[in-house]
Amino acid sequence: MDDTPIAVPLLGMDRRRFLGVVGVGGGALAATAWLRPSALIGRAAAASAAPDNVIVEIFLRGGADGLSFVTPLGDPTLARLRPGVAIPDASALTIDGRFGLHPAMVRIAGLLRDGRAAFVPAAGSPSPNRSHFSAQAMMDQGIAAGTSTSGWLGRYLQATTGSIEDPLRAVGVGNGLAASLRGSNAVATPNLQSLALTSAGTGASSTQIAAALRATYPGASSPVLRAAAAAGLDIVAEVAPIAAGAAPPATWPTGFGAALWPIAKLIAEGFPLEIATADLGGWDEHDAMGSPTDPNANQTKLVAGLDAAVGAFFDWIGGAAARTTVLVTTEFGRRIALNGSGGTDHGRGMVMMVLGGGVNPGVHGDWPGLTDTDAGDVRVANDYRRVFAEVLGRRGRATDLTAVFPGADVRPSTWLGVMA
Amino acid sequence: MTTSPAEPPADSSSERASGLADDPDASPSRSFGRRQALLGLGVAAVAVTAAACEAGGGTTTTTTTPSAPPIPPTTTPPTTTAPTTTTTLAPTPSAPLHAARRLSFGATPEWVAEITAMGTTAWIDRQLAWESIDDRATEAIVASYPRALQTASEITAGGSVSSTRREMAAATMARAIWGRRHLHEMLVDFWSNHFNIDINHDASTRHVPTHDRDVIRRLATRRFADLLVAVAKSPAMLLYLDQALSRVDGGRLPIENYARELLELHTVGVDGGYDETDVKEVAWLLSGWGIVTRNDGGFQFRPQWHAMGPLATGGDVLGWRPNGRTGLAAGEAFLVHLARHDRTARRLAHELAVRFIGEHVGPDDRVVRDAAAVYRANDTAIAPMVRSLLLSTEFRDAGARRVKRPMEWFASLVRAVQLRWEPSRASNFQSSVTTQLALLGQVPLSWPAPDGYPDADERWCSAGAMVARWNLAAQASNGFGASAPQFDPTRILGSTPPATVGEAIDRAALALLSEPLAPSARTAILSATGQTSSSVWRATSTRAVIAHILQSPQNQVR
Repeated sequence: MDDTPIAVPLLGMDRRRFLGVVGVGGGALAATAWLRPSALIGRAAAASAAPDNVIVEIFLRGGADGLSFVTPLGDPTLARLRPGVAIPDASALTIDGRFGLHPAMVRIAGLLRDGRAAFVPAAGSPSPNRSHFSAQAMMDQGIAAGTSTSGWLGRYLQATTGSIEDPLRAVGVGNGLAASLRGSNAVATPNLQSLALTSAGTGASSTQIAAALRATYPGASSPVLRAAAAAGLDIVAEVAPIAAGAAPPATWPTGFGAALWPIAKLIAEGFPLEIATADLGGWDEHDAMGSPTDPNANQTKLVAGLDAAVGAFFDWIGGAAARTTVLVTTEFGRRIALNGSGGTDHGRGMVMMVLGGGVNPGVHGDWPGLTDTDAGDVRVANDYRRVFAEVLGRRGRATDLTAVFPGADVRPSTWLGVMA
Repeated sequence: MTTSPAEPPADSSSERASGLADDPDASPSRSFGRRQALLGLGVAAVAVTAAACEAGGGTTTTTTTPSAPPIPPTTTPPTTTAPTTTTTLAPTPSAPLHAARRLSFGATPEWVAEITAMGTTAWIDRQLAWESIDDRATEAIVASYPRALQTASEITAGGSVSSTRREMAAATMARAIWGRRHLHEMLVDFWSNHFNIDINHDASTRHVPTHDRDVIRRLATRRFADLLVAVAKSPAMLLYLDQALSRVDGGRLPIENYARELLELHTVGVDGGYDETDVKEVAWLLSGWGIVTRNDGGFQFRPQWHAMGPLATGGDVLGWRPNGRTGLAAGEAFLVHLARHDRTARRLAHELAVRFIGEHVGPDDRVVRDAAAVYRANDTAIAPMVRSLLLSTEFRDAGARRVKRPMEWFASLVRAVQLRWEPSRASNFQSSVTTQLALLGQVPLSWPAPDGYPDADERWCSAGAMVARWNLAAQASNGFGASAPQFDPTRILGSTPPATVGEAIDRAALALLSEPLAPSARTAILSATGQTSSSVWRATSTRAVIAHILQSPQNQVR
């Protein structure tokens, strides 16, 4: 955190300070602030107390193959069980003497060289679960058994909320609120354009619509509605100045990149974002994964797509990378051996990545190897919640992490050292 | 009511209106910079203090809440005094309007008129006897989504099983919008959430249409005991909560997932007086309850997978003992016992009271105790319990306070603008439903946990959700882009053009809200559009007026 002030780009710093003290567009905030008495005071106070750090959770939906991210070097098992699909030692981008990266992970390898990439292989939930549905649900909820109506980030946000918080404190990119953010007031939006009021050809301009809303909602019969409308109009006002640049530039990577664009834009523009989530789907490679050295192979395209999106993300946020930590996870890894279709079935241990600010570079956690398996899968040796907890504990606001991860031992002594 | 022409005029005035609306010179608003700033601080104050309006007859309840101290001006010039008190409108609408709002997916003047003519109690009774209401027109609409009417075997045979999710979402919303069995549809929604099954759960997807049709819809007003047993034997539920895999042969232990939710969510509730031992005992009791095959089978009990477990040697669960019974009969008897349990009665009555009356109703309130007593006196029959709640003074006095959930928001917008079903646009409707309700966070049948979509206003009113709601209302203002006769603004504004803007707003409000617009909102909309009540009406303002009314807070509540 001490490196944060120097690292923040000038524009970002300006906007954050501006937001904190005056509110975007001054008038816009003042216009709605009276709906929520403490908004102005609360925001100014929050600005001085709030950490500038941003945590971005990227969830690879479908069970991303960990052995296509981080491969053990000098281990003949993989080549034997995955003929033509295992990453050859000679092609791997070296992490250290023990592990290497997929050859398509050039940007992430670059982050590693800069001391900004950490990897946890053999990560996952202690309770065996090879169903996408329940494994994703439990990871989103930050639990290992049962169900919870709130997500782990939702509980964190709720526990650390101030008397009043900026509606853009937490943003989930996607349709509907991301499961990990449930229980919070996070904004869910598929893109930045959706945070603007549309005139939709009505003939009423968005300014005119906002004016009518601002005038009518204080009279709503439901107090819940009154508060939400005020916050909604705050968002509209906050995002309005960047509405013209709400769409990504032409050079921005499509596919996985699209989900990361709103987050990159908000961070680079200095919005008071603290938590963001994005879902990248399509990792359920049951057949034809292909060769890691073939750029057109299915698995290579997935890995390269992630790498390009992450690379563009860090390029765009520039110096804000020092205060931004990206956490990449997936519901489970895949079977070590190929199935009959050249793909892999649902497995156990996966690879988590922690990228960006505050990272302790390298590979962390226990590595059980590829011979001592869990019914043919990489054994889960590192509880994913300890990685989540360490990132929150080191980069987030102070809070009781045992309340965020009920039933898990996430004391600092259990952390894996992914953060510096 | 002012607008319900049976047939739109042949000449399409909607095209004329929407075509001209793109013309910037035709826009009624030219200079808004200053006005907007004024509205932000000043006009709003007037609007709020004028908010104690009378709406739809009946008594008006006003509550005064302490509010914001004046905010000092920051960087912008307007210095109009901010309000020192906020007067909140919580109107008590007329009984027919209240019933139309609370017991359907959106009030329309047509339904309010029907309730008024029939009398509210008679209308509720008619709605509870839903099978006698001719709804073949809606069933014909649903036929556009074939998987909604198919069995699991047919869906499996047809391939592309995942289409079931989108087709069921569209079919559900079509029924909510165009159906005539309003209260039945509300109760279907209620039970779908009470016995939640996420249609995205891979193993369950192809079984959900059968479950929805033959279990939830068929039994939504019948005996809860029958509904509970039918759900317990429904392949969609057996797969969703893993019960179909629960077997105790070969030294295996039963899977506890369904047993736990049966007690915690479906019947007595988490504080219902059972413990972990009971959960395990129920899991044993229900071992062997499964399905023939995953892809097309119905219910099957496998005696070889079943054993009574600890209950065979004594003990009870919530007062129930097997008394020598085993196998399927024992499980069925236990489910009926649970359905008749007082805790179940109280819990169901409270859940229904929250849904239909409001979140302020407590589990021990008289209205809940009364409804639970009716349920028990009628051997777990649902309709008399619902009737007891809906004829209570608590229901009558509940006011327009509950926020529409996204499915209600979407459906009520479509109903308000009187969009008609058009078979050739069935796929457009389907993609609108899935896209818009995904954006709003409530795709039908898609809540990912066994507890169902939350029935709490706060859950649905995030800041981002409000923007999405407003934008959807703006899109509804021209019937989501549909042309006449599917959408025709003369159904909203009347076939003879209004003379003034004020007349247009008043006509549109009655058509869209089934009641007059609150005077404060009327004033605000006039100000925002830069006009006065007596300004000459121009058809180019049609969409703006409809959008403003649909976006008003009055339209967000029911």
